[in-house]
Amino acid sequence: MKKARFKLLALSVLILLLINLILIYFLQPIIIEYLSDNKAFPTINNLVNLVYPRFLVESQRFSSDFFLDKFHQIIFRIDLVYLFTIAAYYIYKSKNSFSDFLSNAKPSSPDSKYIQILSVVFYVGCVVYTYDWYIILLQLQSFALLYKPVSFLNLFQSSYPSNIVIHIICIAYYISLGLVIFQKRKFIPSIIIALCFFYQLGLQQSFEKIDHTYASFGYGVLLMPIALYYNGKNQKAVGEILFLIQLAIGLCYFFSGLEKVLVSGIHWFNGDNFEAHLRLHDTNFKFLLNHKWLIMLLANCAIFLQVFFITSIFFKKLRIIFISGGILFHWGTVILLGVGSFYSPWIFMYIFLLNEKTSIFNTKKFL
Amino acid sequence: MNSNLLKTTVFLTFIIPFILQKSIFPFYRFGMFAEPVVNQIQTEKFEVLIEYTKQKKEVFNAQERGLYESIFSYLMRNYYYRKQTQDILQIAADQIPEENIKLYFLRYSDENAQADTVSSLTK
Repeated sequence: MKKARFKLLALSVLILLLINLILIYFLQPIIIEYLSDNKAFPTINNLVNLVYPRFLVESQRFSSDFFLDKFHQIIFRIDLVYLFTIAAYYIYKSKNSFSDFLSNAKPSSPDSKYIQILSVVFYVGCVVYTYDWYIILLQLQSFALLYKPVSFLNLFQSSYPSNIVIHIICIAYYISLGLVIFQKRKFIPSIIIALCFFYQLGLQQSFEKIDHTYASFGYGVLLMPIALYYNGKNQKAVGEILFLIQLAIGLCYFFSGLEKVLVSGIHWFNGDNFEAHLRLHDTNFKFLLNHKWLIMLLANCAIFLQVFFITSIFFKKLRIIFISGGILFHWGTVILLGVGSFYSPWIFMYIFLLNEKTSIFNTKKFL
Repeated sequence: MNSNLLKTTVFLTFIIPFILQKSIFPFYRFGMFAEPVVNQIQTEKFEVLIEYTKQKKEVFNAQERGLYESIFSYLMRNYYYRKQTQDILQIAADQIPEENIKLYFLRYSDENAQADTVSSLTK
């Protein structure tokens, strides 16, 4: 058994080496040649436009080294993910305690009434956070010429939708929200909510800029229909979905922190990056620029919170610390940089991290 | 329910944008505030100035017309580097009911610098 596992491990490492060799020795020279004169490769230009539409602008702003660094980051990230996956697989297979630990972390079988209340709270949150989208989408018609549809929207239409389409989508969205909130229907309306939510959000993000405000919230919208489908039929499956939403929240923070470490590294740890953002943003806290140690401390606290937030998903006793830290972190970005809002959807998503015995979910009190 | 398939899918929605360093809406690469701010090119600013008369000038406010200021700033930068600033000026001009006005596309190399006029448009 051990010998077979060792062979598999050796094979995995060999495959990884092979991938690295192909990327470095075959693909890199092509990229270097392309960067030196991209007009000479019209066919590749079309492909680049498809997978990396920002290249046209960024190639005017940055040198070739910038793109080569990006390419090396891709190779490094493939290696990182590959090695992490192999390591996780081996630990999972060889240590029973690890798989037990993972299954203990899941919310085992949540009460169906608790899920009912949680879904109502969540969809009321949907109304609160998206009530002005209808007006925004109508106003954006004035900028229709700047519209460049993101990902799946590209498949439906190349131009900004008409008034009628926006009205139909918004009406379907609000009716479905009403049905779920008042518990008339659950599964089908929640699917309609998810489709309309991402369509409306996609339209707003189709002006060449991606905004992360609804990143973790989107996972709630995406996974809640499955939880509602199983609620009352299979509580174990509901527990799995709830755990996935919690994990997604943790992963949103984890990857935000990891990107900072991988892209800026030392510039984030020594406070340089945070200092530069304080200079760039309109803030009343410019006096912090005179206290380098404080800037360094705040930057390191932010990185620590983002990278380790995910531990609170597995160690429930840590949740109160990380939830408090998370609220302070989001409020901090509003106060110090003027970015985000005090009632950020990221904070709202903490409702999925609260214990089902928490007073707001106390089913006996409500039902 | 195939929970392993669902788990793998959720993981992939994080891993693929992470490797490609690119958001694939509705799944994101979480690169906000990650890039080091090291060169001047990241501190430059753009604005559209409306000149009603020699005395009355006003900065075009995209937010009042439904487009977030941060998105409009980003678009101005992109159109500047694509050498399509006239398009932005035309769109801004279409939003303003007044006639006989002049619009300027301005670039500030940094916060304290003087504005450079990149292009202008008369309506």
